[in-house]
Amino acid sequence: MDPDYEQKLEAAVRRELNTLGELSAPPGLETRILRAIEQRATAPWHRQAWTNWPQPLRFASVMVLLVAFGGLCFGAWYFTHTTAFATAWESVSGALSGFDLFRRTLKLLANSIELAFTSLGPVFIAGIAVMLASAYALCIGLGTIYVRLAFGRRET
Amino acid sequence: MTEAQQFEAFLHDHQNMVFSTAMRLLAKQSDAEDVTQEVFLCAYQRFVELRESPTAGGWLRTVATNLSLNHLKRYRSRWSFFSDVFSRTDDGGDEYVIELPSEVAVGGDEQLVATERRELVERALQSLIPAQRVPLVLHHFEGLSYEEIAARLGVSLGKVKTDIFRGREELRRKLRLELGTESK
Repeated sequence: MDPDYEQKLEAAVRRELNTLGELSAPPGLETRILRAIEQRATAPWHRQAWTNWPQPLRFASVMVLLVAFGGLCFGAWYFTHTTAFATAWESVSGALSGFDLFRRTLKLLANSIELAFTSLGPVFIAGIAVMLASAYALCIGLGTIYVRLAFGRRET
Repeated sequence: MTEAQQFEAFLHDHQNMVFSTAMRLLAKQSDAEDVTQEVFLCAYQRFVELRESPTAGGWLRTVATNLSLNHLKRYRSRWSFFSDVFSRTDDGGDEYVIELPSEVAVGGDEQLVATERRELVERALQSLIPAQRVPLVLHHFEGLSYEEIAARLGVSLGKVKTDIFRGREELRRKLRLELGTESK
């Protein structure tokens, strides 16, 4: 293979591509764009982007959101101080006590894994990691070869 | 001249450039038209700045490129690990070779030959698979370096180099380009 093949190929393709000018836009495109702009401009304010809303409406919408957020915060705070909430919280806590067993099991499992790691030593763990990485790379490689053989273009 | 008339003139002056940018990246006329429309809708919102700006053309080109790439990202499976394997095109596959005009047949009419030649090159470019066409267009028409293309498309530098090389090879094959005295 010619060592300069890549440079020659690039030069030849560049020469061809440099001859290309701009493509002509389809005749109806200009009208279509102007119509779209007109439609967008004449659309009612509530169908436009928030940034295009009239100034007073934007201000009003921000105020409404702030008031709603404030009301929500106050409502939540007020609710947590009622007796109904305290009763409900007690019953929920009772129902969730079953999860404590699950949490303790997980903790036990984590402790076992930690113990296994410390007793096996870092070299063994590193070896396992290298083996897993190699197996993963092998799978990827074999998969690539398979797909290329199965679907690759056949040169004529 | 009213603002609407100014925008109309602006649109008229730049629509071919924006459409070309989108068309070469997307290789589908309806998509390129959609992107062109979107670009000019954005431009209309910023027309006060763009009207006086000497870099308005560059801005339009950048927006067209970004929107086209977003479009590809959204609607096509691309840059996948096996992207280079599936090299069939939409319009009939990989094996077609463009019929070149014969200079003798047209009686030496150089301008006609050149025009036909440009059309063929354009068709050949648009027939490339996206994984090859997009980096090639970004490199040749948008002037991006390989590194910039890799960053833009979120792929490795090696993949960009490989795809561009394969794209050039495909063009050479389809256009039957002569490279001089080389032998592959």
